[in-house]
Amino acid sequence: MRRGVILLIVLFDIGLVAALVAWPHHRPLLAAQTAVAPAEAAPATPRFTLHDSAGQLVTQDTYRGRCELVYFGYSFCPDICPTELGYQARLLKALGADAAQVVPLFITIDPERDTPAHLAAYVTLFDPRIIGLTGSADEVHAAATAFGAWYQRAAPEPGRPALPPGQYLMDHTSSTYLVDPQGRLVGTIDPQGSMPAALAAVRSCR
Amino acid sequence: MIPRMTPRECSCATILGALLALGLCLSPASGQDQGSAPAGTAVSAVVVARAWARATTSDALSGAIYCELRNPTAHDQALRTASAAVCDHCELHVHRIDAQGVMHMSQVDHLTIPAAGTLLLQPGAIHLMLLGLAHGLTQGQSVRVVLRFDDGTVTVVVPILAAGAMGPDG
Repeated sequence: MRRGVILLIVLFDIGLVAALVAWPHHRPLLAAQTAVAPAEAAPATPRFTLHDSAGQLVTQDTYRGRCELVYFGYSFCPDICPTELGYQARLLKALGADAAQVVPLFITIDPERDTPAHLAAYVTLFDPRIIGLTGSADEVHAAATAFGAWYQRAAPEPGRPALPPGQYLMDHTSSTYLVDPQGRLVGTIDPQGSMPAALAAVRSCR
Repeated sequence: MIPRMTPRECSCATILGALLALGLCLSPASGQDQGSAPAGTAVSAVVVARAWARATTSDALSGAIYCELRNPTAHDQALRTASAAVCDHCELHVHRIDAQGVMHMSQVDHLTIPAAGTLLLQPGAIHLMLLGLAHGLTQGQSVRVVLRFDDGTVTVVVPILAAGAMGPDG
């Protein structure tokens, strides 16, 4: 069942991202039609054990009763993650008072460099309501697997100057997962497409 | 293959470019975007417009620059390299989606600006990446970048906008 959901999400993302890349001028229309990836009749309830910037334990039950926007990325990400977080910050502003019912979570896929303090400084750049979560390598991997996210350290490319020690990029899926107040994975939203459609998707998540 | 420039080389090229820019005040586009070439090199016909960068944390090691590259000539032009004093080296990046839906940033050895056309560098797509930043990128400050095209170079002063900015207007 969970593999089915994951496959569905991955397939959706492949299609959506490929379409967005191929026809950037059609973004609003495309996104309005497919703001939420379809989920199966009985959605998965991803389980995770992570920590926030204060060191507090955060699990799938911590924010029960509110919707979660879950994104897997890393703070040293130069383009994709800031782009997604920029849109999330806009989404939160556009939600107005309804944002109180939403918990935006940024889960690092680079726990080696993303210390809790650094992660907090990073997400606050975008919106102080975004919560950065990290954990051990195993905990982060388990969380990503539960949502169907994937990542790995980017391999050096031929011809590219060697980066100094400690500097590397990550390859990763870039989806914002929508989790309902009961902890069920509803699907993914695309705030980069149509903001009204993304707003509607989040507001209808209950 | 992009030759690696040491920070000192980056810095020298940029300072020369900056001095020339101040002296000549070349600005065919908007008065802010277009700079000039470092001493001894030609000024490219390519117009660099609406350039911007995002703020990062102070200890960030990398950042991205976006802009419009406008080619008014009747021939394709290629952006070959970029350099900036604020970083160890710059790379030209495009995003590639693999069969599993994973985003990979790939370095390319040039970017083509079509004849009488414009190439858009924007978030989540083509961008100029700064690697090995010394102090991150601070909102309100700017970055001086030298772009080398087939026909010459352009020095651009790039404003650093908010971390969550999505375009040159914020």
